[in-house]
Amino acid sequence: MYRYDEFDTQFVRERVSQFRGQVERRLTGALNEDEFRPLRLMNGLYLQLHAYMLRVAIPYGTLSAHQMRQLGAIADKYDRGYGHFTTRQNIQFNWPKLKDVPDILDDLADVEMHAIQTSGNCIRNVTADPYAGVAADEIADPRPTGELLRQWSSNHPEFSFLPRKFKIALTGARADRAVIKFHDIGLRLVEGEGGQLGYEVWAGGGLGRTPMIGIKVRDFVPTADLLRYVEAIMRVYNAEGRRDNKYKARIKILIHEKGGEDFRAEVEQEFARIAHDPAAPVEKELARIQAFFAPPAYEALPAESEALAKAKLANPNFARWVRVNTRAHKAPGYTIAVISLKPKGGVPGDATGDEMRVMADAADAYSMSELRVSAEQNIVLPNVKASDLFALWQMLDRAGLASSNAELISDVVSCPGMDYCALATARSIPIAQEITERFAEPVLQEQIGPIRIKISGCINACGHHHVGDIGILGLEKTGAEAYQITLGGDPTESAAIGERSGPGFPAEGVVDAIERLIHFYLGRREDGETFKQTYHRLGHSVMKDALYASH
Amino acid sequence: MPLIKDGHFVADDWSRPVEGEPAVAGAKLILAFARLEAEASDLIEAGHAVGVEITNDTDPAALEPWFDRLALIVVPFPRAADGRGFSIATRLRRLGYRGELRASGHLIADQYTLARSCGFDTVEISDAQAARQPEPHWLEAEHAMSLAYQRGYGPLRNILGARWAAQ
Amino acid sequence: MAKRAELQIVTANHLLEGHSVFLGEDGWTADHHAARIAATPEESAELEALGRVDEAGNIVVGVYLVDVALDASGDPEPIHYREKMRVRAIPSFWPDPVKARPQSLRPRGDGEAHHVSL
Repeated sequence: MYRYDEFDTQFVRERVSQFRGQVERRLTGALNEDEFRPLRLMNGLYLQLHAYMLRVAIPYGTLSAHQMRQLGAIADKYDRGYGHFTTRQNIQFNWPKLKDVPDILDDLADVEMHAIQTSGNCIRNVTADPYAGVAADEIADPRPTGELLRQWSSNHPEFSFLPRKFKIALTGARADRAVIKFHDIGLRLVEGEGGQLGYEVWAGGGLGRTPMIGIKVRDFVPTADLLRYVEAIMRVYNAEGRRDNKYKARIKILIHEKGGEDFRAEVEQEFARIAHDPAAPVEKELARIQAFFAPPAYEALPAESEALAKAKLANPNFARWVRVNTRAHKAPGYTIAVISLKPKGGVPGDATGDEMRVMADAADAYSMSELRVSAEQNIVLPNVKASDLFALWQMLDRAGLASSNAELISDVVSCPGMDYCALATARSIPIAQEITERFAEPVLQEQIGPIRIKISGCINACGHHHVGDIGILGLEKTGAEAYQITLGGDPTESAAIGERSGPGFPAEGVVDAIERLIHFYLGRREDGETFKQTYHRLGHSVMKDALYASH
Repeated sequence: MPLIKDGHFVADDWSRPVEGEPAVAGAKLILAFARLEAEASDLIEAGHAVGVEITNDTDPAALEPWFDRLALIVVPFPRAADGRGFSIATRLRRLGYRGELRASGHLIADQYTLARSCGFDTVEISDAQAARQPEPHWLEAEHAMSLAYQRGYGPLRNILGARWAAQ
Repeated sequence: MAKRAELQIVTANHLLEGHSVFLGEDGWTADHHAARIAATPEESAELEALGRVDEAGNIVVGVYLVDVALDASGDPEPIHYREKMRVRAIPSFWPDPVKARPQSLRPRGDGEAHHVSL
């Protein structure tokens, strides 16, 4: 993992002091709310329905056990004993007081964390594949690039007051688990001619009010040119992105209105203007960062663990958890384990201080002290020996953290919705809770197979509903909450935006409709088909009708 | 309107001449970009220092032919949240403009180092804003951050440079 | 909600603490039942203007009017579901009226592992 040097530390400390001063000036009125808002947002501080909310960055989703423990301590000391992990690899604290926020930021700085640029019209926390560095299908670890971009984008003098927020996502694997085609910039590490590493560059993707799949701007940008290339994209956007209408201010609209060809040409022209700085080779800094992410010393282990096989035979529930919640690791004898934050009836992505400490302890004991946060709002232990899985599972199970549902129907992604959010038009969490209860039966869940249900409580789509196999969007209709369903969305490399079904459902009817659809799918699926495959075989209109079968 | 230079409120010796009215001898004059072509050459010949005030969507390259003759370029900030001026300033400096660069409008003290880093020398704000954010705020803001990660922007100490020097 | 309700109260968030507050007879209160009620558009405008004074004075932020109706006890209750949730001051799925830290946010365990002898 990356460790701050004296300069990183000083930078973050100065930023905290600066914010402390800004809070003081806000309280005296030297800064009015219009002036203070962008400043507090750039430190992750929102004002929500019931309270302030502080969003803390977990850069490229990587967290040490030590950091996780500190998040738990902050939850207990300044908040109401819990936090919420988000789809963009952040954690949100829901109840901080304005006067405590500078102290919280200092506590975060103690463990090399911050809330810088987790909101505001600036370059946001850079996200990455949660299995980065350990996935069996990986070409190269994207996290050094993530750290390079984190530093480069921090307090950027030119790009801190953009037309709108700007999100960058990274992957180094063949499968896209970082949703790169739905980001303002998506980067995929690829091998160029002669095995040289570089990036495939995507831009202009996004969800929200106008969902769009990004366009490929360049097939290959060599590592040495990456920051210059990103700078060129940012400069074109900062100069020309719309500022007359906040709903049309994202880069996706600029690209859409300008046309992909013109946009590409302009970026290339700007890129050509930016001189290569021979005194500051990107490769040199990247190499320094890469050293922190060198693969750990994996033990030479047999690919199959006998102890694991025995434990699975003796414990069907453990066997299920292994089947559902572990993923292929690049090192033989090791595995990636997903800790689901989606227990039956729970709030997706929430974890208490106690649970954070258990996860930290689990990481210390069984995952080389490292954890990840996924876009599915789960926690990942990236380096678990297969022979340790049973002990890990027992530890998690005692804490209620062993739900066997990763990527199954009750692994619901949900934004906080109107229970917390000032922008929401409807609640999300109660719908998610009802789904996890309705489909709690583990055998049924495995029978249904992989499926993504994603819920957003408003058009801004923080719950990524556009890319769910089943997407649920909460809206207001004639003074009551109503839920519109989309089908066929896909956040991965085969990116697709879900298609809207018919009229929305009232809160009481939406889970019934989903249940009808699931039963229809189970009845019509062919051998081994996933929901997605059945959907594509039968087509949208057939599947959509199943939602309304009893109407 | 108050003018801030090096963290201090200083006197502004530039003025914006009303179109059609004769300029006071020796006055330093800020012209709108649209008037530059027609009026600047004569004014410079008559001994005036000439500056230009552009709009937010002016292509910095359009000013390149004037760089040697302009003593001031004024870039507007209609709202503190409108950061186009930061890119305009960066491009003007990289194109080779060496004269004074001024940010004018609604910049707050907390943006001061960003503005300085993008190449602005001076910031011009409204009286009302200056009343809320007096000189000490700007002096303090100038020292709030001492380090920057980005190269090619001044004047903060560059972290990459410092890091490599320390190795 | 096209038609303006008869009655309105003024709400905002407390600048320092963040929680929702309502403009009462003696300043801001967390209890919406203690809010001053405006019965005419003129009274609403007056009440809102009063709230704005404290916004300018850096006591509260985000002042706005909320449509209300009187309940059986004569207390103002919001009409819109968003505002109904807001006056509870906690998420809708938390038991009312506990406003303190919840004892347990969710059931422990998913039930499936507890029959196993380990």
